[in-house]
Amino acid sequence: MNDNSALYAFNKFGDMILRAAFAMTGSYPEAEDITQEVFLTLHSKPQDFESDEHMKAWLLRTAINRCKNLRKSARIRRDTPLNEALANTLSCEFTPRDNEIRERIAKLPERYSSVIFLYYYEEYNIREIALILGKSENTVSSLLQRGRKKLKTELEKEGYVYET
Amino acid sequence: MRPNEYDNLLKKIKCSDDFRSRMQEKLSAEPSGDAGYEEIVSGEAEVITPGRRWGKFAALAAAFVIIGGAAGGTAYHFSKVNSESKIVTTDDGSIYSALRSEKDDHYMMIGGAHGTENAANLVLCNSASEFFDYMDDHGDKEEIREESAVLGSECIYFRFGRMDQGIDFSYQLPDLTMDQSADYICQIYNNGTYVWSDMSASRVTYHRLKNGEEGYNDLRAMLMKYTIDWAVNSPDANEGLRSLLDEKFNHIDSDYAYYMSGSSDGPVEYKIVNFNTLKADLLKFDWVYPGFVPMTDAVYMLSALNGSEGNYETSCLYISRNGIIRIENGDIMRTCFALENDSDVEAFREILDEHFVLNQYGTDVQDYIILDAFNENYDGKTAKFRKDSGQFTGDTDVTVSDFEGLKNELASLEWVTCEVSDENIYKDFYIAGALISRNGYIYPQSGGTHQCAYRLKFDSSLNRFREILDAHFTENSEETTIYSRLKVDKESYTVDLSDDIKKKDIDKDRLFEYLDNYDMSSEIGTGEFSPSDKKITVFFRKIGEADKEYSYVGANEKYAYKLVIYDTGAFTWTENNNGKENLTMHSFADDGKVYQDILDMFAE
Repeated sequence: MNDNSALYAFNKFGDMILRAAFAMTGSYPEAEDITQEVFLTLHSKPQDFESDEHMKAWLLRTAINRCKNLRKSARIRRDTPLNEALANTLSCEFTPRDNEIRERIAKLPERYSSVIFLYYYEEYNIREIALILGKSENTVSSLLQRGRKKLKTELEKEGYVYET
Repeated sequence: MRPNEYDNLLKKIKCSDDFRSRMQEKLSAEPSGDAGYEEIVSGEAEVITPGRRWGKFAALAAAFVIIGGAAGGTAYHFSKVNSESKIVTTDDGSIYSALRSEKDDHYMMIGGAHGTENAANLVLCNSASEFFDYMDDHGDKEEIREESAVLGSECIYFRFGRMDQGIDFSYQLPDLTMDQSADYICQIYNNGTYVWSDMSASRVTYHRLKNGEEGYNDLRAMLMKYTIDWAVNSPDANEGLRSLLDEKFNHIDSDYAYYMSGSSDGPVEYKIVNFNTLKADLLKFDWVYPGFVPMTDAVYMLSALNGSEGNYETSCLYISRNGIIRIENGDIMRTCFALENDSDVEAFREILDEHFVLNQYGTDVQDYIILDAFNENYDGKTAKFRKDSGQFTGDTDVTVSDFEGLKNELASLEWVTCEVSDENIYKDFYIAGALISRNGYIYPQSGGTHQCAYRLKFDSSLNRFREILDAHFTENSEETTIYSRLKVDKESYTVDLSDDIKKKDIDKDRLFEYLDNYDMSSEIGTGEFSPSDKKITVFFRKIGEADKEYSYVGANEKYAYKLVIYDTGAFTWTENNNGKENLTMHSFADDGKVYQDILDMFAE
């Protein structure tokens, strides 16, 4: 690891952090805000990372903590679809199905969505997730199990089939 | 949803070119010493108020803000803006000057926001003159470049819509639809940066208040003035607090609260012991309206939801340990109360300590938590049980005909969390990862880590709980050891030794008579079990089924029961139930006497 700078971190992990924040908030603008905060924090308060993996874990944890704080604000948050203006900036298309999934993700409590993202998308194992989130392996395992159940319940309410 | 759909959606999420280039530019620059920026970065370590975050706000995105139904039903009457004496004649081509020149044709709404999507619940103001006065003095017509504009973590919106002649504005706030009607928007950030948007011209300009952050605070006070006017009708702060607590928090349906200490760990879950008592105790103090004041000490927060589906409003109650109470309704309906006497702060803190406790135990448990307590597979046959305070004592056959039904019925009862060290937990049954105690407890065991137990919320549910257990559990007698089951039906089985031993004719009755002299029911653990290479294997095969194809893997013997005796005194019984083997371990503690006796009896 030669470079601990925020710019290096952003170039290497920017998309990943944006994705993590999106997986927890279900909102692109919020994900962008959180990503911005995370890297500007690192820019302002440089950290001494031992490796890229260490850097990645720190970024993920910081992003997840921010998502957590955001969600615990208990404000009424509006579930906006990806609007046209934003979608245009992303150079990709979001299908109606994408929006349905996004809405379900947004409704999933943070404690579940973070674990689901890290496990299924980033493919961390339970032990690694436990280290990132500062929770016990048992807790992570339990959250994963409950999160899947909850997602399944939510989707079934809407008439979808959840396949593991 | 399929996992690949989840993956595919996330793969589409990438930094846009615009976002990437903006970030790269910011991260290439020296860290800013700007006050607003410092607030952003310090947010990691000092989370006092949730939801404070840095909104990015491309100004035109404001056009897409969804305005939710504003809370409450108070009517605001718009009276035509009274023109003030100050005349500004300069037409400098700025958005502000364009609006300024036609200000009498516009109404103004004001609101606060924490992020792109939260700019809701705007208040229609009865006069815009104060705003224009302020901006005349402190606004700066000089623009700053967009890329060098650093936005703050909070902002205040001032929205200006054109008044149509003859329209009576004396309607209620929820009827307002601002998105279509805003001609101009001014967003003023808490670091002093402000942004003007001319919606019809799609033009955005960036500026800084001449007095920076101080200007934001002044304008914020303007916002709070409207908020307080809106939220509290009583000039007496105690009465105002009482009315808000009664009105907004009379439907608290959970005892959850959060405690924000300012550490980077984020809010901690607390619970309220009794909200009504808390309310009464809070009102014993003398309160004043301080205007908007920051909460600079640890804060408790709880929320209540009012309204009905489709028209919910959330009210949040923040109580700071330094004697400040803030009530928020939606995003800007915000009222602060402060202790009148500083000398009351200590007593106030004692009250808070009494009413807010760490939310570990005694809270309601949702049904899926109870279902999840049984987080191991149930093999459909055995469960452990004990009735003393010792360790688990062996497996006992328990028949549960409908395990899912058992779980569902247990989950349908009302449960609360409790400490795992609760002495009332009798560890009667261990099944599929959880202990079920007959006096009303479920205690999940997760890999040996005891985390939290659950007890029935109401004692009156105990009978029903026991009825459920009795209906689902059939505890067999303690005599149902493998040996006892074999012995009951011994006439149905042949006896044979393994092929590696040359045999005499085996007298079955003599064998059972011999084994009856020993304890066949007491089991030992793997730690005590001492097998050896010297052993005798005795097979019991069902008469008439000698050729039955058993489905188990890795064995070539076909048997119903198997006894293995080692020369160390250890022995095992195995029951083969169509390929599913159940093994128990025992010991004669005889230094190999039984092993030798059996050889003497049956081997040549």
